[in-house]
Amino acid sequence: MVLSKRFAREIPLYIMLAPAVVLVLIYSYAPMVGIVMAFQRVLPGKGIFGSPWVGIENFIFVAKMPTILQVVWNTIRIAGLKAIFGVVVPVSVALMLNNVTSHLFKRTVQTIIYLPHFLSWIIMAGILVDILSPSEGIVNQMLGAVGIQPIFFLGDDKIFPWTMVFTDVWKSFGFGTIIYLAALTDIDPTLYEAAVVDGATRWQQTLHITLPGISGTIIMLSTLSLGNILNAGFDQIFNLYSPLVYSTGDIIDTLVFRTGIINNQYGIATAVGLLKSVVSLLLIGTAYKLAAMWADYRLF
Amino acid sequence: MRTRISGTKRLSTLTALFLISILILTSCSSPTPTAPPPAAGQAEHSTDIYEGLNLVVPNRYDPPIEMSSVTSVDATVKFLEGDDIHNNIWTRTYASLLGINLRYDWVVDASMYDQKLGLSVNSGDIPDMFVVDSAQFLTYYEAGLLADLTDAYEAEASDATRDILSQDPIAMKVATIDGKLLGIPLTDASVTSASVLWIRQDWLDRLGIPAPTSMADVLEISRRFTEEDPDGDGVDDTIGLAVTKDLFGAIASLQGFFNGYHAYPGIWFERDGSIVYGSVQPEMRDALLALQKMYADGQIDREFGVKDINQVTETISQGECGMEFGVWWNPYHPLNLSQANDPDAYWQAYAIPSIDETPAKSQYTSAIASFLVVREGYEHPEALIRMVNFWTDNIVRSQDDNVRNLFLGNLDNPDVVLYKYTPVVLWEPTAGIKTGRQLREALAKRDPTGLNREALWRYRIMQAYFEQGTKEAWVEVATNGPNGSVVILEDVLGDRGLMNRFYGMPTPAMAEKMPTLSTMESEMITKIIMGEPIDQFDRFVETWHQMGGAEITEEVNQWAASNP
Amino acid sequence: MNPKIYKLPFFENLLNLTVLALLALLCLFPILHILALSFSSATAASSGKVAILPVEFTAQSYQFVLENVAFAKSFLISLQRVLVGVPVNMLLTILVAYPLSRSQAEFRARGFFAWFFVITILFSGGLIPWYMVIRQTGLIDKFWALILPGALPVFNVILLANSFRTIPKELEEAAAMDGAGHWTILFRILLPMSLPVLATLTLFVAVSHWNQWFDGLILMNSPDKYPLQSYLQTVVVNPDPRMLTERDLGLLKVISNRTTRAAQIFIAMIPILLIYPFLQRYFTTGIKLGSVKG
Repeated sequence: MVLSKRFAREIPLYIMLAPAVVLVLIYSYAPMVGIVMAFQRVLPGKGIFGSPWVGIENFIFVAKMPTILQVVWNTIRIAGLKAIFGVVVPVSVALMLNNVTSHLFKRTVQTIIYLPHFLSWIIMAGILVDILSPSEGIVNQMLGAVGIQPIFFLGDDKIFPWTMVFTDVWKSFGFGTIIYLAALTDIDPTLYEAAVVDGATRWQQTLHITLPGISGTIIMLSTLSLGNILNAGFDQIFNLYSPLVYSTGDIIDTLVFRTGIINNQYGIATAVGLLKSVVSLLLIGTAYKLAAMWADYRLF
Repeated sequence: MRTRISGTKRLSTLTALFLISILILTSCSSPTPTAPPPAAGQAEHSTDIYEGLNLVVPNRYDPPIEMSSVTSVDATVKFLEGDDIHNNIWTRTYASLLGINLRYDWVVDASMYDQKLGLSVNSGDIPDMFVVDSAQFLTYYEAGLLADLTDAYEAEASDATRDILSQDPIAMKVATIDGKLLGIPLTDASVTSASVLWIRQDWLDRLGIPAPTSMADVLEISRRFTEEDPDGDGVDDTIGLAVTKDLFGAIASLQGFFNGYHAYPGIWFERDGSIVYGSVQPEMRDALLALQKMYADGQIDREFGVKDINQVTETISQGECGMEFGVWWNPYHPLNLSQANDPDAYWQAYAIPSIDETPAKSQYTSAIASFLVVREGYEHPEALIRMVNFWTDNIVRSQDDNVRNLFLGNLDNPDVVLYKYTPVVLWEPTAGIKTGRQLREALAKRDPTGLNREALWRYRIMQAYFEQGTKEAWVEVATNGPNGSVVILEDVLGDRGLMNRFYGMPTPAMAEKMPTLSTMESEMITKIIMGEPIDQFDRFVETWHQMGGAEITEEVNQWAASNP
Repeated sequence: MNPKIYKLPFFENLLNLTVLALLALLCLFPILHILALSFSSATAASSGKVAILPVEFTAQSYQFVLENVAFAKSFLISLQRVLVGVPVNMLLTILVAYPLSRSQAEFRARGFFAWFFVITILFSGGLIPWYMVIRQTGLIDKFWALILPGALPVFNVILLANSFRTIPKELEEAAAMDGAGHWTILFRILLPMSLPVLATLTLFVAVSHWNQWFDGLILMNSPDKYPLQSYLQTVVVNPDPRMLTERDLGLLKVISNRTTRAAQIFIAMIPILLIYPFLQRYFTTGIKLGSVKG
């Protein structure tokens, strides 16, 4: 009796889920069958069921690619830094915007910082090479005005990864800021009122109310970006890198692209994709467990 | 409480609005047919338009046959009134004169063609006739998807077709695998990839420098362009040589520079009885040292290592550099942009000079990049041969303007480029050179009779330059004029050129290891130019051999033994 | 948010505003540059003369892009896509976020479904199987191919589910005691209180549908079915000089890939610039009423 009553309560939930589940099964899970191609030597026209099985040969090929270790490290480093700054910057900006009283100012700034999101890297590349130029670029000119030597942002392999991180953050922080601002409105105003009554300073309010209030959003967004860790940004790097910075700037996707794997060796391309997915899964799974254990926070 | 209700109300109103608009829109959207209208069902096509054109028509299929294909278009493709890609002069001609009902399964933007074709083929939707690039050509053959055209070609190819396909000596060889002709190579002139040295002639004149006859002269010119303010603006803003971060390509490439030192990076050639790879030969050393010195002296852009073609184009148009090693058509783009800043800008083509007494050879590679193929299992492979014949017999060989108006492009309607409607388009490899020769003769005689329509157009432009002083016309003169780049190409085809000895599909080791080796090569060249010690080159050569280069060389030599 | 609490002392306020203003300028500069590029001539653009004002003003890049009949067609298709896609996505997102936001006790299969959806953003079979499935379901070359395959944005679902969970449980419990079922709780309590997040997600979905270009190019069999951004991807003139017509050459003098791309970006931004201020309202109003007893 108890069981069926519980189940009856759950039925509406299943109904709600039904359409989405069907769509996802068809358009996300069915194609996943294609993952088996990672274990095949894919012949055109023969498809998944006609191509010969080669076991882990594709994976061995990937492991034996000469610069693969360096490239994987580059990918992790760049993506990791992007993940960190991709949280720190939008959160800070959201906090700053939150303190602004003028609606007009707030709206204007919000709109403007979202705009770089629309620019493609092809066109950004042109702009960046100009402004970051060590001889004539405006950035170095400004640095020079305060006595700093010109920095070859795009050509120095020690600096290049940082350039990638900051230009990417610049392009996408508007997006994160919007989300955090929305999350900020979820915080119960009475908490602040009580804190003010208790004599808390603004700093204390930020530390003890605001940040914890959006901590859920922060953890969630960071975890989701972990799922992206091995996608360090093909479009950006492809348009901005050069032989000068291959040692620190070459990432998995640009290496795969340059070696023509994408177009002609579909099995190997799928193998790389599978590897990336497994790593992402492990990372997200770990983050999920950690969040549940330490912050008692169910990510999803 | 009130806010909550009005919030919900707002939501429901919005939802209702959305639902209503969906209904309106989806019911309003006109159902577009999913299958293209069959060509056979078109209105009766009058054959009057062919009257008097003396067309050479291959045997007609009666009853007509069906042929499916796929094609790409780009934004510049325009149609005449009432036409579209499925219904135009070419589809109608194929149907009425050849008896072939050509139907396109899909039409995509040119940038997506390779991917769409790959997806289609992998999903099992293989068209009867289509175009593939070299990589797909090999893979599809290995998968058994391509029909053997040997017999059909032997039986039906016209003389014009055979002639055009043999002008490039390796065209047919590349299209033949295991003794079987598997596709019709879409020919083009390989020699067009040969490097030509372009120099700002107006700067040479202003500084009183004579034309260069050796690489030493070139180095000197580079120095003087950098140091002696050739643009006369009093500002130290000029450099000698333009280079892009990709090092090689159609613009601002280093290929020609290396050729001047008898080094041939990136290609295979014969030396002492065997085939070797150019980038690891000793001649590279001196060239690299010269470039290194030029960079150190500020004659090459300090930031060339991060500048791609677009950025280098900027420096060219801003009048900041005086020389570039490029290809014959550079004046059309980007050299023409120099005039924006300086109306007197004029670039002159020079053959690659040499570092010593031996004349330099300009390297070039086979330009066969795509093939027309037929699906294995299609009942009429010879239909393709007939379509090719129609093109070569009538369009390429004909000087009749009426024919060209009907099929290539009408002068009255310059937007409409008719040959873009069909994938069966072969250009005569030597056409550019022939036209160049015709034009030079006509200019010398001051008599344009006998020139076909496009040649006439070019003639008039050059005429304007010589007789009216139209400065912009320099572009045409610099290419097709009496001292233009096309003349240089003729010599390259003769004994001043070196063609890549290897023109086959990548060998196994090559496919696997070459990309990495090429990356190493680019890194090495860039770093040495920017100042790293020259022994990096020696180390590169060693590593190159160890990491697969030796193996690849083996394979190339084996291949060469059976591919003379 | 109570302005009284947030008002900063003068100096800090000034600092705050200055930093934000600088950030905004940093973001604005490239936009102005691109706007200027789109209105400049090709030679000026290629010479690097353009900073934030147009040089050799010309509207020809826009003309080139807009005068094509294909532009109007693709614009309508994109409009349709947004008007259909946004409600479909939002509806599905809401319907999935609600069950996922229930507690483990209320919905025992919650964990299973959560992973069910998250796995789909991690694993993929690649382009070929995706294309094949779309083909098998008969959507190639159809409008709905632009809507159905991506109809459930899992990222948005997670955002919304988390947002639902921050709403005080007491409200739901009170409603449940009054006899409200899941549907009522969802539509009458949770949604009205989630307007900021919903507005945010609506914006994201609209932007995403408006800007998508790859699926249009690859799934349609003819260019007249292309949505706007797909069409815009195709309007670049490729200077292969051997095949250039007179018109092409003349055109190339005035427009170039750079200027047409710049015009493309602008056209893409316009609708968003129009919608965004409208939705902004929802970002700033917190519709939390405080306690249940009120």
